[in-house]
Amino acid sequence: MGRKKMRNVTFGSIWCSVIAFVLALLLVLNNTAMSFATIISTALNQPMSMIVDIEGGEQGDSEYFESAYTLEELGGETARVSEEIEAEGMVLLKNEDGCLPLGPDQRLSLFSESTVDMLYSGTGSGQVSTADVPTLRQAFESVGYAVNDTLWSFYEENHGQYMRERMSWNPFDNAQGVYRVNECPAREYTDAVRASFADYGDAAVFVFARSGGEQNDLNLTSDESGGSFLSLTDDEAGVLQMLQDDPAFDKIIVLVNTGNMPELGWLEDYSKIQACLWIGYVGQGGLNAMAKAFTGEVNPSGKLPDTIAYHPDAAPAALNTDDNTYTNTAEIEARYGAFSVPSAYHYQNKYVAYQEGIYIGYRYYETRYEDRVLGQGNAGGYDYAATVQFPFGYGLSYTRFAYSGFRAEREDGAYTVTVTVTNTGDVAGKEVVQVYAQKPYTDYDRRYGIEKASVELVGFEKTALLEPGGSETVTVTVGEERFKSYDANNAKTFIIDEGVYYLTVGTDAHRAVNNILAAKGKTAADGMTGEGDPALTAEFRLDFDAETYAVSDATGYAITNQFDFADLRHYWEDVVYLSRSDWEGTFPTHLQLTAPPQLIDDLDTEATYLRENPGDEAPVMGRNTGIQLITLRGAEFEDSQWETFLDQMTAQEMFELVQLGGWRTMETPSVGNPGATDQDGPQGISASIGGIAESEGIRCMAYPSTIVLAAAFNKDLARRMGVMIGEEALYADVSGWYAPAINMHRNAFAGRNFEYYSEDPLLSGVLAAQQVLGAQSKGMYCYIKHFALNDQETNRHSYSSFANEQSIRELYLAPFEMAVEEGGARAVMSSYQRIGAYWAGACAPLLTTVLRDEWGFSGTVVTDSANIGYANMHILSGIGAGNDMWLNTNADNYVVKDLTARPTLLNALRRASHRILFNVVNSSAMNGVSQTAEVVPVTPMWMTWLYIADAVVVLACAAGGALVIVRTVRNKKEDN
Amino acid sequence: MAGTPKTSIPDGVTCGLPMLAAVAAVVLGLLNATVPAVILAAAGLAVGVVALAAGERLSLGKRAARLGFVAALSACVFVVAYAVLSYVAFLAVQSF
Repeated sequence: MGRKKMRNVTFGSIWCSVIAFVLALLLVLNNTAMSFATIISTALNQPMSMIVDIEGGEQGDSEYFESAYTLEELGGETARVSEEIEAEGMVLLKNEDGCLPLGPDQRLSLFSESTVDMLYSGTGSGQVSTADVPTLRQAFESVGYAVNDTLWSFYEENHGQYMRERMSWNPFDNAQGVYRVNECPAREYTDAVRASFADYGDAAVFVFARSGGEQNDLNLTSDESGGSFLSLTDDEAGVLQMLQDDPAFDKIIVLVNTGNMPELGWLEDYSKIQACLWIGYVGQGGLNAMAKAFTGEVNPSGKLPDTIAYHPDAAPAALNTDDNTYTNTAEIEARYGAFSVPSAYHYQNKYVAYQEGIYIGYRYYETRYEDRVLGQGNAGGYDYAATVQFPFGYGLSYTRFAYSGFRAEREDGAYTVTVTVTNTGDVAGKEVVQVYAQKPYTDYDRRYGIEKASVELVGFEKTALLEPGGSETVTVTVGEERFKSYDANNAKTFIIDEGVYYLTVGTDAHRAVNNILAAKGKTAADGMTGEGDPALTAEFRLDFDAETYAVSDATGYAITNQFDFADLRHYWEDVVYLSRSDWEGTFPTHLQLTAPPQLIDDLDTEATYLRENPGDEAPVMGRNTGIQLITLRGAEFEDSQWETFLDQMTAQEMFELVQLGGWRTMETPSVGNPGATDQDGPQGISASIGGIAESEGIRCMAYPSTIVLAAAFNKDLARRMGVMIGEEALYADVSGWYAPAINMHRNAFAGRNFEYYSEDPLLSGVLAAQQVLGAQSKGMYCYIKHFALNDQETNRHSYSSFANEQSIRELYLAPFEMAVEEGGARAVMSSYQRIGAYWAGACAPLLTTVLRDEWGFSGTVVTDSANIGYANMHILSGIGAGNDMWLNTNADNYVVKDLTARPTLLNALRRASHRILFNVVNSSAMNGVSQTAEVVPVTPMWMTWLYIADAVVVLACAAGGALVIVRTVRNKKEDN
Repeated sequence: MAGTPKTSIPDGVTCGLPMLAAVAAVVLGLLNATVPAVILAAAGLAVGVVALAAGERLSLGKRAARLGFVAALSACVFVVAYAVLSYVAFLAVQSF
């Protein structure tokens, strides 16, 4: 019996449905591919334009930036720098009885699940390639150590069950998930594993690791520890207790593999823990350097870039972080709609209150300590010794250093601090000379709400490697501007207060305070934690001055309040900032704020949209003046040729330059703009959202995380890392670097602390400036980020930051200012969140008044990643405020209709195009573009293949349709 | 009911309406007007289904009814697939 023939209608329905689905799929794929053509081309390294020399000029004439290395040499040099950063950045926190170095030929047992899953970087855009990194075991074996294989295999085998749970970088998980340690409990260790300890008992190395990353802050509470994610978990404590009880070991060495400063009070709970080394996130070379520190080949010289407190969650800033929602959120949502995905993270109902003012990190811990000793400021029962475990700037060495010959001399508005450092120990080592200043806290300050920390880092230098008995006289120059303070309530500008100023050198911030207290006649009997050394201090008396620093040194622009609208008191008059005049009475609480009607009005994103000015005329566009971009290479920003050049650009060309700046700068063939590739991130360009920088056979280096670089306190090293990034970029055809990241470590739980330097603005700014100088010397332009006040991840897309002007200027803008004025940074990345009620990218006081008018910046400002059509990040919202480019690859986002009917917008687009192209023409992106070259558009290979695939699919669908018709007709004839 | 005259339905209704709805739905779908597109395609499909089901009792061109039904069904599949796949692509972009 034959198979029953399918009815025509059934056959046709099935086939036509399949064809309809395939066509829909094809359309969606094509739409998506075309919308993201620029980023796909960038990722595949298939440019959409090519450089053609129309008169046969030699390419060699146009290599404006050349590498100083062959590719092979470069690989070796970047590896050396990566290892050197770790060697100088790891911080020896504890070393009882000379536990470290262990010396050669040791047999080690490595403990904790993290040993087989070390953290080389954080997650998100700052992550790096781990393709070539050594394991912890390989690192130890490379220095001749034997590693307990039974234990190692045990961890590897159970790693699926006990592996760390990291926060995903999924935007739909925004701050909703948890980080988990998920350590293998002691009860799981088999008898065979325990029996292996004795043969590898020279030391037990315990790895304490905590992941962190973009999009999510670390959890302030944890069901694993009863404390926070930065606390020791119960299972980790169980393993440590097992080691404490096991006679196979007489010493435990702890490696702290974190990008955030954790709670380490437990180091004191186990007598066998004799040494502790903070190594940060280690990049490619870090573990090798760490292993060499075990043998003694490397002597740690890092100093803490953040204070380590016993309970960082009790710091004043930590009380107002994480997720904060206005109490009347229903009222706000009634006006603007509720937050929802995919309406693009448009929060109006979230905020962060910087109620602590300037008192973050050591500025809080050390200032309250001084006031407690001096019996002033209602410091209450503050117990420094029970609060701070390791102060800012702290770090041990395998040797000892003595300081002598301290001098501080004032000359021509600057102070020269000189001190001789002598290595009095038995092995060679480096020392960091840290110079701190104390500004007087006066009645004027109390009256006008100006706050002063007891000490501020105002300069530092690292010695060369000093052999035993060797010495070096170190000179640190401190400009008088380091003594200025921002007076937001009376002078409304920077002032120098009248009174006595101190300069001192200290091995950490706490020693510095103690030196100054000693100079004031205080001793341990007054409640000091130790004796200070008054011989290491100098005093100066300055008069009140509200003029010298009231104008910008860079531009002469008058400096006055710009951020009154971001002050908590702008909307809530009764809010009090933390003040050293009354610690107990002003200590922050978890602020529960209700948005007043004015704030609800101000949160209206469209209120900041660029309005067309009826008097404006459209700029000249599309006029062929024959000037190619290359002819403006080296021309001043103000050069009149720019105007003639810009006359050539069409409205659409200018708009695309602004709109499509995601991981690249768009090419404009008509004016000879070849475009440029931009890449993440601060630890190197080895892996990026915009593609892996691996062209010309280069795999770029994964450097240790920025916080490790900060701990090195080494300006030269920071600059060398910048140079290496620039060198790699030349081979990888990358011109823009989304780094350095200079936000502050406002609290220990911020997800991206590993990418940022420190809790101190000077350390951050000095090192960032050096990195910028290094990278830009090779033709890169550095997008310093995230500008500004984006110091946490939770709700980062549009929460409102509220802070007073003094803390904004002295803490949060200061490092950016140094990177611009001292480093010459040519690009800036604005941040996601709001400053007060307004998106940072639409904040003219920030992006125009401060950045350009005060600091003299003439480069490009790009948004943070804007691939989702964020409602509050519209081009109309930011372009007028000074934001030039959108880090967006989707041509369907931020579309503005009727461009040519918007003269005000066209003028803004022209200004932005000027800034963008000024950057491009002076960068390595012009390598290969000679005076006789043209940039011509080309169809990248992937697009050609896509078109071929389209044709094949369409033909197949047509054939399918024909088949249906033929079958129907044939069946009809047979039926007849 | 032999002898009862059948109602005569022109091809313009049984085929033309679903076809028209199908074309309109596809156009609206491509313009991202997903909801009206789905409504139109579904309406066209409904007409096609009714025409097919009632074909035995009504006087109409069966071939036209089938053509209308297949067109409307294809439009429905296209519009829904396009909307769903576009959303999936959007989600993929978000993750990226």
